[in-house]
Amino acid sequence: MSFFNEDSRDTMAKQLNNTSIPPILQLPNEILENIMIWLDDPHSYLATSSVNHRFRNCATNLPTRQEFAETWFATHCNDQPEHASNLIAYTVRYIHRHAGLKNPEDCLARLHPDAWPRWKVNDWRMWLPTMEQYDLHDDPILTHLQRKLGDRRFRWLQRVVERIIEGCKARTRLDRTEESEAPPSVVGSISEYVYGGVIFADEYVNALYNFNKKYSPVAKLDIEDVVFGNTLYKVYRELEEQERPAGIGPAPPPGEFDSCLHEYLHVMHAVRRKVLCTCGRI
Amino acid sequence: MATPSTQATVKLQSNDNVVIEVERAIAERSVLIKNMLEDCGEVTDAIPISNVNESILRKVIEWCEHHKNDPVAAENENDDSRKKTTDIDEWDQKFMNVDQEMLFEIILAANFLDIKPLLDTGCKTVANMIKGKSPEEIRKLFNIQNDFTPEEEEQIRRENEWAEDR
Repeated sequence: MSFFNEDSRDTMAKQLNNTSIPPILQLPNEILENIMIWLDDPHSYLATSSVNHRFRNCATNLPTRQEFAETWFATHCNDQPEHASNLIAYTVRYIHRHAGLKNPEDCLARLHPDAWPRWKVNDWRMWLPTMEQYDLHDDPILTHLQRKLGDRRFRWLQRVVERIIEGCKARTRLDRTEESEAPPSVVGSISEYVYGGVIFADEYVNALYNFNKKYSPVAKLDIEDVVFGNTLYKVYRELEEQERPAGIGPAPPPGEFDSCLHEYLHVMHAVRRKVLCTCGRI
Repeated sequence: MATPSTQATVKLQSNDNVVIEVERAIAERSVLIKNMLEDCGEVTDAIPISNVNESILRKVIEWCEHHKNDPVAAENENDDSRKKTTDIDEWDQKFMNVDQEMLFEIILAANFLDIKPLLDTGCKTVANMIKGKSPEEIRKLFNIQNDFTPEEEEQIRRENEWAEDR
């Protein structure tokens, strides 16, 4: 039956009969890459990039990195990769606003939505959720974060930010072409989704997702995002071992996306306040 | 959904000329075979699986038998409905507990026969072997030669530095 012989996979699926070449190196690139995307953490992924030239080519291949990142977020956020992608984009914009600022007053003005005239708040580029709900008092998270995010990691975060800025520029261009459309008011402030200290994360994230889907091509996740996500993820897990600090509100059931977002915002708040920005205010 | 058929079994022939008869539903876990049967209708001859030997073919059939009642993912559904997990169920873990060479042969066979869940399970198994290891440990595990020059190694080390755990 010629059907099989004509199949393009024929050559790739040849028997592992060449004893001089290690079996794993007899696998085609697409399978090596399929193995890499299932790695559980970014450090193992980067380790594969240092094994030999063949592995390096696979690991540094952009689509492989992106698929690894998508898979990582899909398996660690218990949710759709699109959401994770939004959260990362959101975080990075967030960090950027602080990291790029010289004086605290400026920071305060830019971060507080009320500081903007109403019409500007409705402009998505000015929009930023308020984090009052997450105002923490002196809390043990900071010890974690200061250990986790030193100077070097901060410089690296700036690199991630630069990448996203490029994405934002592209978004601005896209925006201009759609000027006739009404500015999106669907997202609103995060406080609209907060009731009694509990965030209705699904609604919030869905609004964010629909908003992004409509108005901005979300930058594809990459290995940098995973390293960043992994850092936060580890912080969450450590936090879970400890007593929850006061002021954060009741935690949703573990394993749910709400819980992930909850902790995420919790951590981001602390990153922003103590690590990136010296203004000490929301 | 399923194609109407009176044929209950199909014969598969390994590349070392062993013919194995299996339930059609089991053989159809392979998208390659499924499409072929749909295209050709009744197939009474043994289907040659030219890249797979008997022991691997039997192993793959064993997997398909165990997973014959798993829901088959629809083709266009690989975006939203896909819930990815790196977990491997217990039976699959035992199934994949074979020597490296056989593991890679199973992966190649799954790739050739287009059995995505088996391919993913195999790849996850290898990924678990790599997990937490240094580049040198990975080389040792798979018997890979380091073909970088010291200069290249130094450059890679610097490139990856940003991501290290402090």
